[in-house]
Amino acid sequence: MMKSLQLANRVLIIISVFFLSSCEKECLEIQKLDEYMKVVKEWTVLDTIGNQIIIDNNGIKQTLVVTSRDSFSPDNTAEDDCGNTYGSFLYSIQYNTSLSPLNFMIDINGGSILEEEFYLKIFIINTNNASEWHKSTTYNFYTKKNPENNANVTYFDKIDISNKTYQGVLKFVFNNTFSKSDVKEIYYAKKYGVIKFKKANGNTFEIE
Amino acid sequence: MNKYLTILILLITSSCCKDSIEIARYYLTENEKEFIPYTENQKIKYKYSNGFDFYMNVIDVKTEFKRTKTEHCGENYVSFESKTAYLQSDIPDFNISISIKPKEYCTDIGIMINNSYLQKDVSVKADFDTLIIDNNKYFNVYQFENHIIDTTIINPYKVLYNKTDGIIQIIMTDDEKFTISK
Repeated sequence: MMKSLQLANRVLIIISVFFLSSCEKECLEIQKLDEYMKVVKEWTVLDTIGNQIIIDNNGIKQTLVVTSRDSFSPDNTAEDDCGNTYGSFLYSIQYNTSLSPLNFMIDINGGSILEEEFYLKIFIINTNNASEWHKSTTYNFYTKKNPENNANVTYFDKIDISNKTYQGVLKFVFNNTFSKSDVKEIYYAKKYGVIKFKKANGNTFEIE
Repeated sequence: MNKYLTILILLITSSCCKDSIEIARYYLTENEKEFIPYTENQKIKYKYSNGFDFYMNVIDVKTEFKRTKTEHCGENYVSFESKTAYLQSDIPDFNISISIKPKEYCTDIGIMINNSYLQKDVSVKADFDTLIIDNNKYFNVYQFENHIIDTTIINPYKVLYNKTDGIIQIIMTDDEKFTISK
């Protein structure tokens, strides 16, 4: 009888511990979130950067046109059981190339899940109806990885283009291209946005 | 029973759409067709202002019948012949279509260069009887213009065009030019 009671007690304790531990929610790591929120915000494009001239390997010029840019920072989008709340951040900038049929859209995101919500995502669309295609790729600032595994992403402390030094540049090299005119590589600089891209046919376009 | 059947038939037939009627059909004249002087698989050499050479490929030339769009059920329409040439180059990334329709329907030729549209009324006299470009003489040259343009952005602004050579020159807003090489 005594043994049975002891056993029942033990089972009760184990169940209670298991129950309590499964109910416990992790607290938001506010300090770390703040740190990464600061990081993502550094990648937004300065308001003073507007339309820019780009020049290809053969000296042919066109304009990289900024068609839109938006920023959105809602408060308290996440809440934990420790009494913390946290907001999120979304920045978006879109470009057209005035001659080549290309559209670039860059989303920069900050949120409350470190592994998933701090990233820079690039969408590339060919606006020529005859061969319409689009693709996207992402760099996660926390994991320092490309979650889609469709591109090789490299971070450079600095890159020189047309006698100008850009500090903090992400270079995306896509694993696959759809056609000769598809974009193979794209360079995105902190505060300056798209500064260079290379097509599958080898033609490279740089900010003048 | 018969009454219900009649009402049902009337309801069905009254809700059906009347057939649209073709009220006119316009054909391209031989003279109009000659305004698109391209043949499929033709390669045409062009030169950029800085000397860079490239080829424009004629990927398709087609003549087809089209009809005006109708917005409402049973609306009448007009049919017209249309001749279009499609040109493409790799570097620079040009996708061009040039299209002519019978003058009874539309007197303009339209040139679409990527996202830019240029047009010109070719039922009137050419803008230049003769024009010398890069030591070559061109006759009866029309100047096409892009009417919706922001001159601060580098875009096709004007096109010089004739029945012999088609696109002779594309002039950009920064005054750089793509010129046919002879």
